[in-house]
Amino acid sequence: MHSERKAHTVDFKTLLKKDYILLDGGFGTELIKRGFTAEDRAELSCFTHPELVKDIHRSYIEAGSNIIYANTFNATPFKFEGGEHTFEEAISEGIRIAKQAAEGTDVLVGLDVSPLGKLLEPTGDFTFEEAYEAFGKIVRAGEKAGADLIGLETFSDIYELRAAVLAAKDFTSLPVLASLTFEENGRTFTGCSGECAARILQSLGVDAIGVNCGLGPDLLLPVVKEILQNTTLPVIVKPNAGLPDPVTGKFGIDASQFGSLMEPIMKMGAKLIGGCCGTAPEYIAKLRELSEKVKPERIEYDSAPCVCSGSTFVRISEPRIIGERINPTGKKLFKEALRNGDINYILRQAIEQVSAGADILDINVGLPDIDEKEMMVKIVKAVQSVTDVPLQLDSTNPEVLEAGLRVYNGKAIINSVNGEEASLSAILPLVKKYGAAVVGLTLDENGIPKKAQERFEIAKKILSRAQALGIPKEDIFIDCLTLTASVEQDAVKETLLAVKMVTENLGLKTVLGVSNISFGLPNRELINHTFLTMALQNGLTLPIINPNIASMVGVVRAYKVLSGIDRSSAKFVEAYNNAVPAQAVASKEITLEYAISTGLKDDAKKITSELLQTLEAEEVINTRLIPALDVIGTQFESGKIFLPQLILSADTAGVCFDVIKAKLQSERKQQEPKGSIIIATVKGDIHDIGKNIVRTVLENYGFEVLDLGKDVPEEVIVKEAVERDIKLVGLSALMTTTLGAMENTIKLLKQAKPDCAVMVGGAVLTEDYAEKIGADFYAKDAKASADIAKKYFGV
Amino acid sequence: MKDRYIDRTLELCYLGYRGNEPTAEIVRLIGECEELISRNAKPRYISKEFAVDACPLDISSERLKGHLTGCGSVILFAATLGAGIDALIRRLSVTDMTRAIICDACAGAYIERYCDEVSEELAEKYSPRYLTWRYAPGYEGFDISEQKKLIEALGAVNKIGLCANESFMLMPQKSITGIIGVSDSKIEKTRRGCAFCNMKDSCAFRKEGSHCGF
Repeated sequence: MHSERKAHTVDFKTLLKKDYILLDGGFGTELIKRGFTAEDRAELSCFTHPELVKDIHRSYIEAGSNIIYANTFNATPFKFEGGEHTFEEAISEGIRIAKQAAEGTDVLVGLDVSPLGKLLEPTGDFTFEEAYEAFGKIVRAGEKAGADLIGLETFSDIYELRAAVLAAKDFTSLPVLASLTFEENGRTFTGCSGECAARILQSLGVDAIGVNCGLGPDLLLPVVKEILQNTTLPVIVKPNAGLPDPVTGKFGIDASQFGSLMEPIMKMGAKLIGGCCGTAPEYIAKLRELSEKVKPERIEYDSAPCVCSGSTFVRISEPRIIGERINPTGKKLFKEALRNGDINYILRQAIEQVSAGADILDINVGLPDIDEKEMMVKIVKAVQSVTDVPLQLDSTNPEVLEAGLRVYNGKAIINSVNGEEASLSAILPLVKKYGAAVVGLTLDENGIPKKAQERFEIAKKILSRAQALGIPKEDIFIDCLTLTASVEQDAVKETLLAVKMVTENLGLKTVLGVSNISFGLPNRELINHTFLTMALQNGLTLPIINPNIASMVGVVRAYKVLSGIDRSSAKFVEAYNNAVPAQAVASKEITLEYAISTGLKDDAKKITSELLQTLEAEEVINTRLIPALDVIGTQFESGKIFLPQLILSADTAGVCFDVIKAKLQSERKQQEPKGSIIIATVKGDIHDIGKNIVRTVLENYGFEVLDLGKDVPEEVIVKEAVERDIKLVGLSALMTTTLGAMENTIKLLKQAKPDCAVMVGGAVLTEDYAEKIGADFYAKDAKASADIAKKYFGV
Repeated sequence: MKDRYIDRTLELCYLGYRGNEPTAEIVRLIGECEELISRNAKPRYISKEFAVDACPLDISSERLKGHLTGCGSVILFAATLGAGIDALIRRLSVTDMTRAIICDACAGAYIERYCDEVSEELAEKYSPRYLTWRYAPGYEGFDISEQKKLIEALGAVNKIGLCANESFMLMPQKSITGIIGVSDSKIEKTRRGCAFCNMKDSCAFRKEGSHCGF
């Protein structure tokens, strides 16, 4: 009998030597079975029904559980806010009762940690940092109370689970078991797949990964298989007793059926097995019976290199494109955007590259005069809120990299480490801690070696140093470094040879920044794509390129056809078969005004370029663009056209402004903005579509708009207005509940910067109310806001 | 196959067309956006029945009492199109505001039609009992701050990923919550419309002498 064994002879590590570790089963359903009613609050049961709780633990121990989870699910700071007991008390009571139940046995007691009941950014307003802090408090309370391990359970959002894992690893020394709840489509309801979950959790160094709740064993089998293929860690499986009946709420699978459905899962190699809702001690007894006769034959781990975001998995077994455009080096507009906090500009670069074919995005925000660390966090969060391709974090500063890695929801690539001692000792520990992949540059204290063999030696050194830290080989990508052909023509073949050697002799994947090759030569594109073809042929897997140049992406796509990767040329055909032929309409017959009013962006772009050959930029803006927009605006006001068309025209004018901006940039001139305006949705208000409409219209009337986003605290708006000496601020609020924040923002703004005017808008506002809360202007719609700005700035 | 939750008339209403015809280009864009919404929406809901005197929300106002006349219990429900729609609109807001506003309207109409179907489904499930129409926090006599309690009572965060912020706004944005009365006897149809709406003083439709179709 288990209960006769001596206490504390095992720890989690010893348990792992067994073929199977038995967990416990459903708790809530057991409470109800013992007379607990829906009115009793389950999270308080340790205070109200301690004996009953202990009794349930005992029954699981008797059934054979090696680990029981304390009754601490939902013991979160928020659930206990303002109540009679604190969550810390609930945790210490829960652990105390479980330990009492386990007394005299070698059963381990886990702190059961649930999601916080908050929705994390970007969908929700709870920040990653807040989640980390809350989990920190929970796990510290658990360790203090004497838990033997931490069981993070029933998570849907892998981002929230990441915060919990980091907190558990940072604040305690306990083993961490992490599991998510999947739906029938093999994803959690926030879209995380088994493979992404496994890779992300494994990268963070948890002790076991798995699934619990949601479905019965039969429906969970495919995702369990996927997880087993994507981790070398022990796998947890705690299914429900089937699905509950919609009318009676009863679960459909009994203990013996549960056993037969679990058998194949155990055979596949799931080591930590138990049950969730609807399962009872007899289910665990059944599993114990099986554990004595079923022999695990764990299915094979897929060790192909990979990276992933929270929902997109990218296997690096074939060439993948890393988009290089999010990088200020040599890009004036990008630098300007970084300094002005124009996040939207950067996001556009991200989305554009993904649409063009990037599989991974490089993120570099290093500029001498900005706080790179703060910016990295901001941009990583913003980019992952609009696209789900994996990211490569690019900085020379380890602190910046670490800050980015913490908030990144996925397994990232770090760009980069090199053969220098200082770099190896600063970067590799980060790679290890966050389970990232890393780019290793083949240079060291002596610079870039001339010969391929020497670069190969550095690659070898980086690999062995990484492996010594326990970083898996497949997470190292080597950059053999592209030198400029116009300067060092003979170096090209050394680079290519090094790529070949690293690929073939070290078995590592390689990275190359391709465009360096063509500096100083005409027709750079031709050189670039020829070099890319040569590099691919030598084994290059991760070209870092500008995916917006069609011929570069084209090389990769064509290479995949010719090298037999793109089977039946399916992806190639998909990419090029539906290419739209050029518009038949002769642009001569289209005027700029017509193009803007009908939303013909390509034509508008072409006509603007043509006009700029004879007219000054200012002239194009003042005599053509603005009047065209005015006509549209008047039609909108008089009800002849409607919002979508107004915005379509504004968007089209935006394309023209981009052409003008680029032209001025190339002539090293600047377009004088007609005025600088801050816009923001006030604190507490998360609906920003109206504010975004206003932004579009204002920008396309030539105003410089600093969009601070939604749910913006008063002090942030005030600080930005003061620092940038902004004379007009536009505030939006949708709900009556956020009008207070609007009023307060105006008050603080007027105190700190009396010469700054405020215009307000939003569904619940009226002219009278705007005046009452101290606003200078009321804008009933986007068109009105542009009129106000024009009048205010006298343009 | 056309998605049954797509409702062009309601979309045009949300976009402010007031019975006018959009241009061919806008029609094309709307068609495209409907498809985007169809592809990205993951509609789901939860509901739970409470006896009227065990209802965790404040339903004591005259207006709500009137709405729930004759009802022995109430159903709390919450529905959402999921975070994917927010992400889609967020992405479009950066690159293509025209599609962003059209998608916003399409998603708004979509969740309404979805909730209509949920209401029918519930009516069937609770038959032979009768259900009132759905009454949402923020309508007259139903304080918006009840939103949080409603979400809490349903466990909506963990079950369908729906939450309310400090200002009681729903996240994801395209979501609807409400209370439905359950009665043993037939319920007289009460008038829905502007009088019940907390937006009635500032509503853009009303300013134009029109209404949102509710």
